[in-house]
Amino acid sequence: MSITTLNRQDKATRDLVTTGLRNFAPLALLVVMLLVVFVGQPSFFGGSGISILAGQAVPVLLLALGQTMVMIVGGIDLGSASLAVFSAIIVASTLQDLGYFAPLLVLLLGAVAGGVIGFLASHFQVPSFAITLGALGVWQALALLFSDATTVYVDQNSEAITWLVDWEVVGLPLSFVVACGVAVALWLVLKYTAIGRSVRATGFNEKATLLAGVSTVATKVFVFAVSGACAAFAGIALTAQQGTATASGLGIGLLLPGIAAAVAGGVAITGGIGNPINVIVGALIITLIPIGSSALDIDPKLQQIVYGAIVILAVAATMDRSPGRVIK
Amino acid sequence: MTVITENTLELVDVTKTFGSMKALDSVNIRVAPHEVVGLIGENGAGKSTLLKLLAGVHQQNSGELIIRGQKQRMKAPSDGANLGIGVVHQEQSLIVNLTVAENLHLGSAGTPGEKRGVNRLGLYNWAELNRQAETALRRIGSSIDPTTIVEDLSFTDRQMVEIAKAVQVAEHSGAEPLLILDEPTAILEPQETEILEREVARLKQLGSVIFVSHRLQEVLRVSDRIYVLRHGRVVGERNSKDVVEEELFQLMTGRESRQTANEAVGRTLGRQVLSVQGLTRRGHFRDVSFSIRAGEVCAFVGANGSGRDELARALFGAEPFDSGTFSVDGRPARSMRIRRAIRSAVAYLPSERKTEGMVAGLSVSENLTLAHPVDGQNGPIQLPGKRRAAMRRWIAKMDVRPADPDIDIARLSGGNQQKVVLGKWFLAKKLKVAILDHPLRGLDPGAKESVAQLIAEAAAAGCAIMLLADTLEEALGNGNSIIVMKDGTITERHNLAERIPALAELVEGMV
Repeated sequence: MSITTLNRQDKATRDLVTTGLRNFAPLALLVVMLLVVFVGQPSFFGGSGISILAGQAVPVLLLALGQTMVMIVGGIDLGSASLAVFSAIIVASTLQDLGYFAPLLVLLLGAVAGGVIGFLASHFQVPSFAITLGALGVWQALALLFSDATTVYVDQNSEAITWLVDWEVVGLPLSFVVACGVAVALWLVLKYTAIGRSVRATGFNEKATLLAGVSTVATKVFVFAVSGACAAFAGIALTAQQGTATASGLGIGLLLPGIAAAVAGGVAITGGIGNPINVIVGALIITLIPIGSSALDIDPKLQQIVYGAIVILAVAATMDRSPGRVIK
Repeated sequence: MTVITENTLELVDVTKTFGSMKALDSVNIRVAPHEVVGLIGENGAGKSTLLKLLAGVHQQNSGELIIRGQKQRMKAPSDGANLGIGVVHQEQSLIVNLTVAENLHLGSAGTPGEKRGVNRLGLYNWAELNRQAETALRRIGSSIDPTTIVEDLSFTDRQMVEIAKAVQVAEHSGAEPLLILDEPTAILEPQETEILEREVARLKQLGSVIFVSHRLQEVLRVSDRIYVLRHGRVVGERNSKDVVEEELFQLMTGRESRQTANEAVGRTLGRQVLSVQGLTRRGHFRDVSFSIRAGEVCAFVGANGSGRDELARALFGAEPFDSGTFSVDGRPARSMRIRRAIRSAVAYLPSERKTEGMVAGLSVSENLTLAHPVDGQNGPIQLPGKRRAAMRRWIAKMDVRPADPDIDIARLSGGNQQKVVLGKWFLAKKLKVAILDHPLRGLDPGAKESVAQLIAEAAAAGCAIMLLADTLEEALGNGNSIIVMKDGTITERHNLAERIPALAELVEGMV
């Protein structure tokens, strides 16, 4: 056996170990954070703390899952959080007339809206950063327009969506379990389907993928449609949680947590790499920061510092920093 | 060896291990002043370890490194420069959106010129910067304008700037420099190679040169003496005038060259598969007509700017064309799109393997199945187990090493990567046309032979092959016919079965 092959095997084993560690780093961080909260405030676990954490994590998780798909293809979706707000308003205002069809309609709308953005971005070769920055404004304006800039209350047929938060599975809200199901589904898509392989290939090397005859336009339409549908789902979950929807409501602030959750879950912003199941952990980490800080009585003024420090820690633990890699 | 001081560089029993493996095993090499020493070896033979040792990146575990009679132990890359060693790396390190002068200034770290180029506030002194750059360039006999943006330079000129940069740093030490050129000609066209060979002769006047290359003929032409590395050992030291290419190949690979006569010429050809009429793209190629038959390898040769690269990409639909028509197996194609080309069983191997040919990060088996689905996997669901099993057979057939379908393609050596990229197309059952843009570029001789073999097998199976050859020898060794292009038009056509043209004849059509 020659020198090179042996060296290569050594390196392969070493890489396997570090990759393995990197995969579990977000989980380890979450466990450490939970332990800190447990030591400081044991009652957090006795009461409904975990259930609240899971429930609060749902919108962030859904947005992060959509973001994950877009990031794996090498792009970013800045419009998803405001699409979630728009979706929340649409579902709140159509429940009365459409009942159970309202959430389905909104999911479809979200997917179509995302798909259109993906088509525009890839067909006209506009960077996704630019086009989704534009989309962010459009969804926000549409949300204002449809809500007449006031709060939309859910009166009738609220049971068409509230089952998401009312029903529980092993003490966790159903919406969280469904969102985890979405994560597993996306993981399966990435691992076992042709389109999933195209997504990863495009993220690693778009030019080579194009020259191998893979339709990168279809691939991008797909990931942005997934992101749109996830955003719509996040909007539905928000409305179900609150019973109301406003254009200036909770969703707007979810853009950066959504991205942070994906990054904390080990998704590379340079494309190609990311595991939706780890993003569940990322979303829990991001959601636990404010909840845990409150439970520990940390000064709210300091919470942003804790937030920043933990995001940096999570990224540092999960990123592949082989020498010579270009980090953007 | 009576007088040690007469050598610029001497390695005595140098050993370097990584873990339990010896990358260099008791290596003895010496370089005299004003001598060009060739260093050859297959990938993994220890060449790069040796160069890194000389550049101060690695340190030897045992043995001595003697520079101009003094024992040295290098600890950091700057130590190499301080001892008068300049390295021109295989991959260009210039920053393309800066001027030549700025690049040379960036490379002058540690020399007095670094300080003179910028004032105390950190602002450029442009006049001084340009003057320094001009001096450095004139030193190596180049007349490039220092104010040019590197992006606008030809590849050869960039190489010159790299050399000027290395000389500038190495000469700062005050001694005659030792320059290491790591595969400087790997991607040059034939006449550019000549320029570089002249440059090496010039550098020989300034100091000593270690010339690392895969191209045996070139090493023979430029070097005074040649060392052959295999598995970390020096397996041969020859004077260039006493050795022939065949012997070097044997030393290097440990086996005899399989390449005998051009087997392609004797092959019986089938029907016309690719036929091109009057294809034109303004500014790139015009009125190009030719046809290739099943089983034929048609080699295209031409200098940079001959238009053959753009022609190849246009036929695959990766770049546009303005007028003309072509047909694949009798079916006309007015305009071409990549996906339509692939559906009509046309394949294209890009010359830039790393950026266009392979998807680093995906496994070997995923790369192999990117263009054509494996049997029974045409649907949206992909079963890795099935894919792996199917790809194992292919990997064994193409002799890809290591034979692991799940390994990231980026881990393979260049030659094995190229086998996978080719395999991606050749595993299609009824491949009709393969457009191969410099398939052998940058590969070591052993890998070159295996890849050439794969191409020959595909042709024998009835594929029409358009081969954009790296060298004229490659065209003559692998083609049934040769088409010479210059400035976007075809200037000569040769059918090798009828007559084999002389090299000079081909060059005449190119320039």
